[in-house]
Amino acid sequence: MSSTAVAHHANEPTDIGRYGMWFFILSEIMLFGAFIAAYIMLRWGSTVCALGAPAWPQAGYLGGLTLATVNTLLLITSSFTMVRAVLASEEKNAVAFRRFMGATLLLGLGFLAVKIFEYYLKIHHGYYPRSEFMEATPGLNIFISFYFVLTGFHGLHVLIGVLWNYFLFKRGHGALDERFGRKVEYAGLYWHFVDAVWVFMFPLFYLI
Amino acid sequence: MSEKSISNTLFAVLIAVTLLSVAASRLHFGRELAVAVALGFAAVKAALIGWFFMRLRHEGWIVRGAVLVGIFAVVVMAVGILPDLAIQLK
Repeated sequence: MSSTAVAHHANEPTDIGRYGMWFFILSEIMLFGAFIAAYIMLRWGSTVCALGAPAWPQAGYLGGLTLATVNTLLLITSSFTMVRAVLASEEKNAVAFRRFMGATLLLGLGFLAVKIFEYYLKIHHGYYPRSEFMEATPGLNIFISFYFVLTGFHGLHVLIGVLWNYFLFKRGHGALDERFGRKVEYAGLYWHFVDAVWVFMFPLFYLI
Repeated sequence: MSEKSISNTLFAVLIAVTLLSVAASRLHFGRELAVAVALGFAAVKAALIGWFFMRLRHEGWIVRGAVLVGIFAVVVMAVGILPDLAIQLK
């Protein structure tokens, strides 16, 4: 898109939808940001909640890191395919749109499947709030509460994104118009935001 | 550079930075430095996603301003906890 075209595009009345999407994302930044800021400060300053590798002393830790790395790669790849789906919808290329949106859908479902399997592993190893194992280590109990709240809330966002993408995938055949292209653009913004949130959660929960 | 070329390049960069951040986590920094390094890698990746994939580079001041307000609010929330942190660490 040329800069002239972009400048013209930015002044169109129809951009109200895009502005709305960005202000929704602003509210989401604050929501996730509040939790993440509290979690970072907890990790930074607490000697009780000294975590990272020591927090995952059993098999669940290594499995968790591997699964989370796979999930990170899945989400980044899905962001790439979403970019291509948006470009295809702008070019009104229905075949390419369905190919890339279909890939985005599968990658999103893959993320959820891996996350559910990871939850199963965690719970199997006693990593859930107020379990006997957690009660014996209060710092870990705080950590695991943050873990489930943030990853659960993020997972819910991924699920909503998958449903949104599915809706567009189902309707993305035949002649694509500009209105449809805008809908795909909004879904793309949401999907990339969900990816960006995970980009922060991955190192904070699995690498430090 | 076309949008497709940019997305290809950025995809490769994001994968590389992810693998780099996993490798860096094996270096056993101190707790504070580990958090800072992890956040540094994450901030770079999120900035790339926002600027290129979400096309912030094409947006006007309203959208860029909204994003900056969000980032500023999160920083205020984090920095607001710092005095409490300083007292705890004494």
